Amino acid sequence: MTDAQLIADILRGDAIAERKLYDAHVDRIYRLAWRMSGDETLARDFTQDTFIRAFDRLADFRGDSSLATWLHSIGTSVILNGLKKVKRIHGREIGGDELPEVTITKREAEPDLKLRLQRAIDGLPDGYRTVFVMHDVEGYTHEEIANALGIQPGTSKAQLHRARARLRDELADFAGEWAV
Amino acid sequence: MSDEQFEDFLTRNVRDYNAAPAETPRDAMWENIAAARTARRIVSPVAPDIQPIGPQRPTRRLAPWIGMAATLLLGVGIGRVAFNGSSDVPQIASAPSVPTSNTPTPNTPTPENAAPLTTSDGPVATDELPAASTSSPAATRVRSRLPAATRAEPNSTPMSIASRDHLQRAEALVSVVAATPADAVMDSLTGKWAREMLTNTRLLLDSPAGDDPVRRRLLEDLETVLVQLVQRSGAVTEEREILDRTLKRTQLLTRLRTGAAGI
Repeated sequence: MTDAQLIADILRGDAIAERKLYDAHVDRIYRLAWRMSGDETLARDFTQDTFIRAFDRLADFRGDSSLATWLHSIGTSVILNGLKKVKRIHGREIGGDELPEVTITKREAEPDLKLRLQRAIDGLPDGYRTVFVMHDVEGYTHEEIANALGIQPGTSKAQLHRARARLRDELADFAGEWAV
Repeated sequence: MSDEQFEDFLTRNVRDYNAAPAETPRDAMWENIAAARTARRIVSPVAPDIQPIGPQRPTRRLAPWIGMAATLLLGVGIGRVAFNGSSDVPQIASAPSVPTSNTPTPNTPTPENAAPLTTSDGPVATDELPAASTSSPAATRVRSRLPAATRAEPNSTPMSIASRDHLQRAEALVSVVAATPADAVMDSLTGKWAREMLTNTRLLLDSPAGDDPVRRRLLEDLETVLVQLVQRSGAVTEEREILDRTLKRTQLLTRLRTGAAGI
């Protein structure tokens, strides 16, 4: 069944078609929400909100991009706005400035390297982190990222490059370990 | 260390970053999505495929639906305030006194007169449904069979008006479904109609109207039937047998007529 047929069925009120669309895309949206939030409740909320908005706006979908791309643009918008709200509510930034200071005096064992890597990713600016997570962690292409975020593919590549460079700086103490 | 080495390191290690559990809680999230969308329909119960044609103002098509939803919500709201904690909620306890084995009244809509309900001209205009009106022969007959003590004039509080209106619409819907051939595919408009009725039924169950045990039982049976209707919306009807069994077991159509007439 094509996207157009599925959408037509949903707009006619077909509940089974609604569920089909949901089943086809929910895993990827949920995984991305999890990766970005690191929290089960938030991941669920963001995923649910994405589909509620998508169903509400389905009549406006013009087919300029694929349904998956369109859904991901809603999903990333919901996730990023949701994370901003969470940050406001908690009154703290996830940014590196406010991360607990981790003093490295010697090379740590691998579990610590992983922990440090996770914290470094958490500390990336939102734009870098989003592109990094989508590309390096979830395997989206630069075109998919660009469509979802409403940016140029070149911008996506540039942000990924900067994100990696920043992570490399953050993990400079472990330089000997990542080559293993 | 080269960039390539660092990228290899990232590739090996970032997979664990905020890794989601293997199982996506699909059904749990779907239930929440469905509930949220149903709740939104209370505010704006308009079918998504209804588009204004040409220069026609959308409000013309929305108006009847908004009016119906507003009436019901207003009724529920006023009812909550008016009857909160009071014991004189209008009773329809007279309903059981009517033999439930009555044969359906002759004004049961036939597929012929039910057909306009599902045309593609627009939303199902429940104002035009072949529902029993407050002064319909069926309602009058039922009221005349009630004991004198309970044969009071129809209650005119907003709560009662909303309840009566809802039960009459439910009667129309159930009549249409009962008159539809068992092997027919239920059209999407009937499905939407059932979904909206389901929302309002649940709203009424939570209102003072749900305090009355007889009416509550009626609304709960109606809810069951509506859920079955919504579930088979758009699907070929293996579930029709279940629906028919529920209709027969609960004598819902007869009780809806009695309930609407008794308010």
